[in-house]
Parts: sequence; structure tokens; C-alpha cells
Amino acid sequence: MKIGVFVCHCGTNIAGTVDVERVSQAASKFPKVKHSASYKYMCSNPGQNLVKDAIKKHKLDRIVIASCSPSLHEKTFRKCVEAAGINPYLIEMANIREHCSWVHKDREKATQKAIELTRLAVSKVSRNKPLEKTYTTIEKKVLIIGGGISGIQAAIDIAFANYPAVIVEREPSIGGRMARFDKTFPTLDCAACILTPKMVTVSQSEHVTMHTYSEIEEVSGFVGNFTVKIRKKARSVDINKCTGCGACYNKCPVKVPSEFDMGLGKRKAIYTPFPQAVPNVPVIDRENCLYFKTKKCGICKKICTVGAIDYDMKDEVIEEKFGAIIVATGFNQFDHSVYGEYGYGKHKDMITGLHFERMVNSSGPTGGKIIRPSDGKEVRDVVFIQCVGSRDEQKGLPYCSRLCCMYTAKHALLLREHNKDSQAYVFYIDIRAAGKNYEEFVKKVQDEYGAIYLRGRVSRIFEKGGKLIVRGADTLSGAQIEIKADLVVLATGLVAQKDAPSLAQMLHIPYDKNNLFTEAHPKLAPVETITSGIFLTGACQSPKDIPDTVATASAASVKALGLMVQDKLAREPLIASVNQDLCSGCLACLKACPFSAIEEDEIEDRKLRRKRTVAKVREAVCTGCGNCTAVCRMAAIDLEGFTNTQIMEEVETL
Amino acid sequence: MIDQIKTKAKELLKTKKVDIVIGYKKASDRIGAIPAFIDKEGDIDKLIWDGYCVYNLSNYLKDFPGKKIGIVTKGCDAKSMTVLLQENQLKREDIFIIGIECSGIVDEKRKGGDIAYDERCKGCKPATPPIYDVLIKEEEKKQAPRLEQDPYESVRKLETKSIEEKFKFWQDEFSRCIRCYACRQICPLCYCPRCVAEQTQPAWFSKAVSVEGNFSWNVNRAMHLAGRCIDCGECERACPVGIPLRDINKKIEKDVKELFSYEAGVDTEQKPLFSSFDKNDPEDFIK
Ligand SMILES: Cc1cc2nc3c(=O)[nH]c(=O)nc-3n(C[C@H](O)[C@H](O)[C@H](O)COP(=O)(O)OP(=O)(O)OC[C@H]3O[C@@H](n4cnc5c(N)ncnc54)[C@H](O)[C@@H]3O)c2cc1C
Ligand code: SF4
Ligand code: SF4
Ligand code: SF4
Repeated sequence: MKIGVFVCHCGTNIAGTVDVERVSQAASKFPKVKHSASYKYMCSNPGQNLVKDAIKKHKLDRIVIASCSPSLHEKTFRKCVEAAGINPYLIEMANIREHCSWVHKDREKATQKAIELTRLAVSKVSRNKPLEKTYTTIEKKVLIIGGGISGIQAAIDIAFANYPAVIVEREPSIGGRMARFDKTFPTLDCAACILTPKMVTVSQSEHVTMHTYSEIEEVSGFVGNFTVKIRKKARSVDINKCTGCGACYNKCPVKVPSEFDMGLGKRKAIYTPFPQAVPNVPVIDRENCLYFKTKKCGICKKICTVGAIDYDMKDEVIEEKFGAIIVATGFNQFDHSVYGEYGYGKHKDMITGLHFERMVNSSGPTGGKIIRPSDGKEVRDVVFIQCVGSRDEQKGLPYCSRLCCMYTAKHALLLREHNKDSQAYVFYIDIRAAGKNYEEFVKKVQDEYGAIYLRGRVSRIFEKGGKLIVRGADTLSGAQIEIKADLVVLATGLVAQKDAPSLAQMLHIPYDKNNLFTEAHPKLAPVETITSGIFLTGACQSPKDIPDTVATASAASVKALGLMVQDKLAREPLIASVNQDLCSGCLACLKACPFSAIEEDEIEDRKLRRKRTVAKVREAVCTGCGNCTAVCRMAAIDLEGFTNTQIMEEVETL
Repeated sequence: MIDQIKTKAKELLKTKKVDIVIGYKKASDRIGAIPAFIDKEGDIDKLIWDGYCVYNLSNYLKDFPGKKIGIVTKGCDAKSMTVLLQENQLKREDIFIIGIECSGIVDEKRKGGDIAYDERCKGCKPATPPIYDVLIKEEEKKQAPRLEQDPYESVRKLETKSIEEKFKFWQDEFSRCIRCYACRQICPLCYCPRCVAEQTQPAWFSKAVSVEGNFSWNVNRAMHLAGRCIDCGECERACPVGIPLRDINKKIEKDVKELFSYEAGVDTEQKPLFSSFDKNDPEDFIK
């Protein structure tokens, strides 16, 4: 064995505190070291050439670079030695910068420590083994979970690059929340006018498959090779036969509150959630359908001229393979019934922002009239309350929902546009309008649309004489305020979907204490997750408005496409493996592995003369994080690059 | 009470629900109790139950692979079965647990006396096994009043020592260790196919009887039981040189409880301590 040691000055970064020459000299005397040298910048071209030349000249077969953190330049030096004919895994780095020169002042002691760190690296490298990268294929198809604006945008981007995308949406139509809106801040363009064309593009694209009224049931596999089970719930209407004529729901005798209209309007038992639904194919709500409840009725089946109604349709579970997954499941609204001061959500004339969106929508349940749900009368005085649930660590959410200031301003504006005599009062804590043209928008609402903004909290709301009395303080003027309101609109915060944790567990992606999916790095990897091949977009990650949602959708698509264009995926060989003879089958590792990279296996134990369960690493999934090796009492599981023998060699050298 | 045990054992064997019943029988000294392995209905009368039924029988479960086993189980011993189930070493459907809500066992070191509770029984409440298929209760009149004793009394005493004193204390204790590994052999949770003490590539610590090797062994043993030891006390009972092994076990048990609100052996479904990670785990050790 001929080990070469190369000590870097890193300009003055290392040499300023560490006597680099002394480290190099000391290293030359370590066992098995044949050559040592130092250089100003080892990572530079001349530095790398120095290493390459020395390898040839001294016939070195293992290399130690004493320089910076391996996270910075390990790849550089692996390539460098590979070019000189050495297996790239026969190098070690001694971190004498971050772990030494940068954190110490005493030159003598720092030099001593640098020598010791180098000594350890030399002993470790003596136990390194040559390793080879492995390669896996990539399934050229992207799964998009959720068909809101973020999922739709992602599908359009993937399809534009001529790769197939599959949207799985659990509602009967794609569109998400945005399909409910009338106008969108800050430009006030009509939501349907900008969303519907995108929905149609998706439905007509040869590259996009939509599974609406469907859910993800199971996810297995790993980047490039995910296998996903999708449950297509029984729609009771044959999507291939239906022409979308609407005869069935016109004649259906059952009326129930419409979820899409937030209960403000009614729908039939066979229904499409809204007129522009994509696909424009109804679904039977079996819980309310007379045929399913009593076996009577059957009107829709009789009336359908193409025979699309199928009462016997069953759920269908299909299995598909994907190379990448984009999660776009959006958000839910905070449940304001925890607030006693707002009457626990018992007042009829108190609604949320999403209700308001439906009311103000000309194709909505009230035809665009803003009315009191209790008596249907048009409203005059409307109180908007911001930050309901948001920024309230005690009862609500610790975070700011980011959009409520903006959509409340939009609502105040639309209120005046729909009813010239109306008056909007907005209770707020702060106005957060940090987007392009957002501040200007809020100002316009205050100055041109006469919305009265009151800084303070509402202390109580109660009913009196058919009105809602809203009491609160205006902390700016110090005045106590009482408003007799026709309608109160709560700007409830945005929260994660209820099933977000279970979906995250299925996908093996982390979520935070608010159940929002966590990105791999908040700044530098904002749409990636730590599970490679799974990306995030839209409001499922954090409250986002439409511009941000669309931007992250395109970003996630680029990441997914980055995988699609590869021929094959190289995988690092620095992964775990189980010595099954030593393994006791306790499966502590299986439970500890954050990537589900460990599965059960069975071996014939010759000593015990019976079969027993042991652990096995799924090589393609293992990321080499090393969690498993830490929990294994038997030391049966070992991690390439950090093997027990390598570590013990270092310990012995100390 | 013993009648109930016998009736159940008979029923289990007769209906072929189990192939064998593990219980206790009188030792040849006619005082102590030793394990009984009963596979014939005719032998059932050998079964006994009294305060001398000290051994944790779950250690014998692994000796009957593929067999269905009925087992007489005290509260503490059932906890070790819980851990074994949690760690995939047993199949629940293979064992029938005849749970005993016991009222304490004798202190072996004071054999012959009246029911003088073993140390660990004093802090044990409730004595109901966390898992069982049938529960048999000790008759009221035999139940001696359970003392409200702090289970960590001796640990707390040790904790007041300085680091140097603690080191000295354990060094003295461990210096007596003869590396017989009786503690490991008797432990129901030491089931590794090849113990780290015997591995050679790498050799984790010295196999020689030396202060260094003994220290490493004992610390390793204790750490490998962190979050798992259920305090059946078998190791301390088995140690021929009288090292207070329960004190180490209890110290770790106490730390684990205080730091992670984790208790071993109460729930087969809970994730093993070391395999679980929680964002709220204390991180005070990072300075
Ligand atoms: C009252 C209100 C007014 C707003 N007004 C504006 C505005 O004027 N301008 C603006 O820019 N932004 C506005 N927003 C924000 C806007 O709603 C969001 O930016 C946008 O909807 C986020 O899109 P998304 O696709 O991420 O989520 P969503 O629109 O919530 O879509 C998510 C989709 O995923 C589906 N889904 C969820 N879970 C699953 C699952 N497990 N499996 C399959 N499918 C699933 C859902 O059914 C849904 O269709 C407003 C928000 C509110 C609450
Ligand atoms: S932790 Fe170790 S002994 Fe337990 S199953 Fe995993 S590899 Fe086997
Ligand atoms: S190294 Fe990490 S990813 Fe690989 S098997 Fe072990 S715990 Fe799982
Ligand atoms: S039983 Fe006692 S003497 Fe024997 S190995 Fe264990 S601690 Fe050492």
C-alpha cells in the first residue's frame, strides 16, 4: 500500500493558523505513507495536477487530502484521482479547515490537531475498499398528486416537454380552490377566464392523463422507479360514454348542499361540481342517491341517451410506474369554531373568505349577490376580520397565512363594486402586502373604495335585532368600536390538508409541526424534498398565492424533467448492507430508516436449523445516511465508506 | 390460585391450543422454584405458584421454535415478552400468556424467610401484566400491602456522587467481574446471534479480564439494554460476584423516562426507543 498525503494551504484560510509544512512533514512519517506534499490551493487545476503527477511518479494507490470539508470538494478529488487511474473511493479527506483552522487561534495546538486529523484519515484510508457506482433506469412519466392550479401548471409544463404526466385528483373535477373564485388579486382578472383555458389545455393534451375522483393508495420504490397504486373511485358514470349533456342532473330529484358552493347552494345527487368542470362528466354521490338508498328512482339511467350511467360500477385500483412525483395537494381552511369570541361559528351571517368568494361569483349560488345567509337580504355593512387562526400560537397557527390581507382587500373592493351603498370595515393586526403591486392594491381599496381599516382585535360578536354586533378596539385611535353588521367575513388562515400526514408517510417525505410538507432546504432546495424524485409545489408546502403557486409548479416541473431527460441514474455506492449471519432480526434498523430502505428477508440458519427473519437493505433506495448502523446492537449492519473496520482503525490510531 | 393455573394449563394442553406449558415447579431443596416444562396432562400437578417463583420464564421461549407455548407470566416478565414481540423475536399467536397479577416475590438473597419482598417488587405497581390471554389474580388475603417505595431510591443515592466518586465506585465493582457472561445468558433480551463481546472483525473491546475490558463489557451490556431493560432483575441475581447491575439498568431506565417519556415493555406497537426520532427530543447535550 502506498498512501499519498496532500495538505492544502487554502490561501491563508488554513495556513494562517496551521503550519501546513509541518503537517506535511509529519504525514510523510505515518505508516504506509510514501509521499506527502503541500500546495496553496489543492482544488485548483495546478493543485489537482500535482496530485495526479505524484500518483504516477510514486505509484500511489490511496490518497488523503487534508483540506476543507468533504461536502465541498470530495467530489472534486474523487474525479481527480479517478483521472489518474485510482478508484475514486480510495481517498479520504481530513477536514483541517472547518474542523480546525477556522475554529482555533493557537497555532501550535491547531497544527497538532491538524496532524492528528490527518493521521486519522491515513489510518481510515488504509481500510478503504474500491467501490463502483451502480446505475438504475428511469421510468419516463411524472405523477402529479392534486389537480389545483399548481398541479395543472405542472402538468402543462411536463407535457410541453413531451413527457407524459398523470394527474390524480380526488374531487370529480380538476381546478382546486381557484375554480371557486370570482376575481383574483391584485390584477382582478376573472379567475375562470385564466383558469379554464389551462384546464382545457390539460384535458386535451395527448401527454396528460387525468384520474379524477381518485386517490393514491400506496407508493413504493424510489427515484426513477416509483410504483403507485391509484384508487379510481366508482363514479357510477362511464367517462367514455358520457357526453356531458347534463340531462341526468337536471332531472335528478335529490337536492343536497353543494360542497363546491360551501353549502350556500344546492346540487343534485348526480352532479358536476361546477359548470366548467373538467372532465365534464357527472358523478353519483351514492350516500344521497335514491337508487343506492332504496333501489327506487333510477331516473338518470332512464334519461341518459348514451347509457353512461352504471350503478354497478366498482372502485378500481390501478398500478402505474413513475420516475418522479410532484405533490400539489393544496390547503384547507382553518376551523374558526375554536374562537368563543366569534360565537364558535354558530352565527348564520358569519362566513369565511371562501364563502364570500362563492357569493361574489356571478356564476355562484347567489348569482353574484352578496346576501345574508339567514334571510337572503342584500348586505350593507360588512365586517371583515383578518388573521383568524393565523399568528395565534395559543389557539391557532404560529404562522402568517400570507394571503388573507390580500384577499380581504379584494373582498372589500368587490363588495363596493357589487353594492354601491355598502360599507366594508376591516379589523386587522398588520397589513402584509409584500408582493408585486400588492401594497398599491390595498391602498387603492382604502382610498378609492372607502374600506375602513381598523387596527385591533374583535373582542366579541353577538346577535341583536337581526344584526351581528361586532365589538372591538381601534388601537390606533384608542376608541372602543361597535358595528352593527349585516355580515361578518372571517379571513381564516390556510392550513394543511387533513390527510397530509398520511400522504407524507406514504411518500416518505417529512412534514412540519403544522403538517405542511417540508422542503429539502428552505432557501436552496425549495421545491425538492429529502426523498429524491419527489417534489413540492403550491399551498401544500406553505400558504401561497397563485403567482407563487404557479412559479413553484414550474420549478418542480423543471426538477422532474431534469430526471426525465437522463438515460440512467448513477447511485453512490456508499450505502448500508446487512451481515445476515450477525443479524438478529430485531428490525430496529427497519424502523429507524427514514427512507424505508430496509425490508424483511428470510434466511436458513444452519446453526439453528430453521428459517429466521433478518434485515436486508434495498440498495437502490438506501441513501447512506447511516441511521441504521447506529441502532444495530449486533453491529450487523455496516455502511460503505464508514465501515466498522474503518472507524475502529481510526479509534485505534487515536 | 394454583388451581386456576392448573385448570388453564390442562385446558390448553387438552385442546391442543399449546404444545407445551412453561411454569414453575418445586426445586429439589423443596423451597425454591425452578422452571417446569409440561407437555403431558399427567404432569400438570407438578405446577406450583408461590413467592419463590422468581425466574423470568420468557427466556425459555426461544428454546421451542415452531411450537405453541403456554407460559405462566408475572407482570415484570410479561414486559420482557412485550419487548421481544416489539423486536420481532416472538410471534404473538405462538404464545398463550397465563398472566399472574402477582403480589411480589421473595428476596432470594434472604432465602427461607417470610415474604420479604425483593427490592424491585417494592417499586412495582401495578403488578398486572401489560399483555396476557388470561389473567389470574392473587387472592386478596395473601396480598401483602405494597409499599409506596421510590423505585429509583438507590439510583438517586448514586447520582449524588461526584463524577470521580462514581467512576471509582464502578471501577471497584467492575474490577470483580470475571467475564462469565452469566448476566448476558440469563437476560431474556440478550438474544443476539453473536454478541459484540465475541466479534473479532473488528474487535470492539478487549476480551481479557482487565479493568478496561470489564468496563467496556459492562457499559456495552447496559447500553444495549437502554430503552429495553424491563427490570426483571435476572442479571443481578445471576452475577456470581454480586455486581449491582440493576443500578446501572435503573439509572438508564430513569434517564430514558425523564428525557424521552419512554418506558420499555408496555406496548408492543411502540417504536423502539433508539429507532424513533422526535423533533421535541431534548438536545441539551449539544453545547
Ligand atoms: C378565500 C381565498 C381567496 C383567495 N384569493 C386569491 C386571489 O385572489 N389571488 C391569488 O393569487 N390567490 C388567492 N388565493 C390563494 C389560492 O387559493 C391558492 O394560491 C391556490 O389555490 C393554491 O393552489 P394549489 O393548487 O396549491 O392548491 P388547491 O387549489 O387547494 O388545489 C389542491 C388540489 O389537490 C386536491 N387534493 C388534495 N389532496 C389530495 C389527495 N390526497 N389526493 C388527490 N388530490 C388531492 C384537491 O382536491 C385540490 O383540487 C385565495 C385563497 C383563499 C382561501
Ligand atoms: S438492527 Fe441489526 S440486528 Fe436488528 S434487524 Fe437490523 S441489522 Fe438485524
Ligand atoms: S443507511 Fe440510512 S437509508 Fe440506508 S438503510 Fe441505513 S438508515 Fe436506511
Ligand atoms: S454476570 Fe457478573 S461477573 Fe459475569 S460477566 Fe456479568 S457482570 Fe461480569
